[in-house]
Amino acid sequence: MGMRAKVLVTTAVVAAVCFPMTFVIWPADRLLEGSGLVPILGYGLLAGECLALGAGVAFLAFGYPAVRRLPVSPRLATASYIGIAFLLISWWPHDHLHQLVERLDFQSLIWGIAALEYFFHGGMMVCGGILALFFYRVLIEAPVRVPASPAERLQEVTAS
Amino acid sequence: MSNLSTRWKFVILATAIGTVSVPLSLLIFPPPKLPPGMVLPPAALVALIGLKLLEGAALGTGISFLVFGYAVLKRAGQPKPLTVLAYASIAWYLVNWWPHDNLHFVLGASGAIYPLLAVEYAFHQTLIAGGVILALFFYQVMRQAASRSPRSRPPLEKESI
Repeated sequence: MGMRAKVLVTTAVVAAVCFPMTFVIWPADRLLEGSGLVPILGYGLLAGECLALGAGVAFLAFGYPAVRRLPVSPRLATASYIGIAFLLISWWPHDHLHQLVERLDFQSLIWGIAALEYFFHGGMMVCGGILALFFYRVLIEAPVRVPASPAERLQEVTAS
Repeated sequence: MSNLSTRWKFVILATAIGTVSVPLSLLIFPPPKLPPGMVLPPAALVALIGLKLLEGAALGTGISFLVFGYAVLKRAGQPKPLTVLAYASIAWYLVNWWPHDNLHFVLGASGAIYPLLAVEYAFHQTLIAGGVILALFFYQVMRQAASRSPRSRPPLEKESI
């Protein structure tokens, strides 16, 4: 199975599993329960979140071999890899925790919103910063490419 | 300003926009009134002000990135549509929090469901799409950079996503 097929299958399977799980973990979601267009739009949102979660898991599962070969520090490479996964995986818990927090009393609501905003929104801002640094290091500071010699190319082909 | 390096121009523009954006957000999105008899705990106020500062910093960085960032991404040598989408996604990931969080606060307080759905679609779904684009761009850049790397590592699969 090719890489593209593996990614698509993993995304679809994870999304298919987490879609029904949503109703078990977060049974009361006002975006899925309303009348008129609300539940249709709510289910559209949920489908998007589940697909993003699946894509994030697929990225975690199949992206790492390329990360290990990057010409940046292993710490930055791993942080960027986790950052991309966070941008995709976080929406499913994030949106449903917002729905959950909205049901709390005023004091808990304020603290709940602050916690969610710091963890998810702040986390995504940090991920954005890490990715900006990653792209800067790879695209601006990366060493200039030296064409591989025939012997090196032969070695690469043999190794692969 | 013309003698400054791009890095300094980036920082100055980001700081200026970030600084202006905090009072501007209070003007455009006035904080919702508290329920009668409720008082905001001081620690919560500090946490909310901290969020405002983060949002302002992200907005400033995003606009600076819009001004100076494309030249950097162009160096990745990826197809132009993917490069433009990645550029827009990175900027959106930084710029969106200022209107996004403020609209959540203003509309969340009203309890209306359609405005909430509009925010979810306009921000959350577009950010999810941006995440997918960035994952693809990141993967392509990784493959390209890894093939340039002198490190001896296990070979990559040949097929791209």
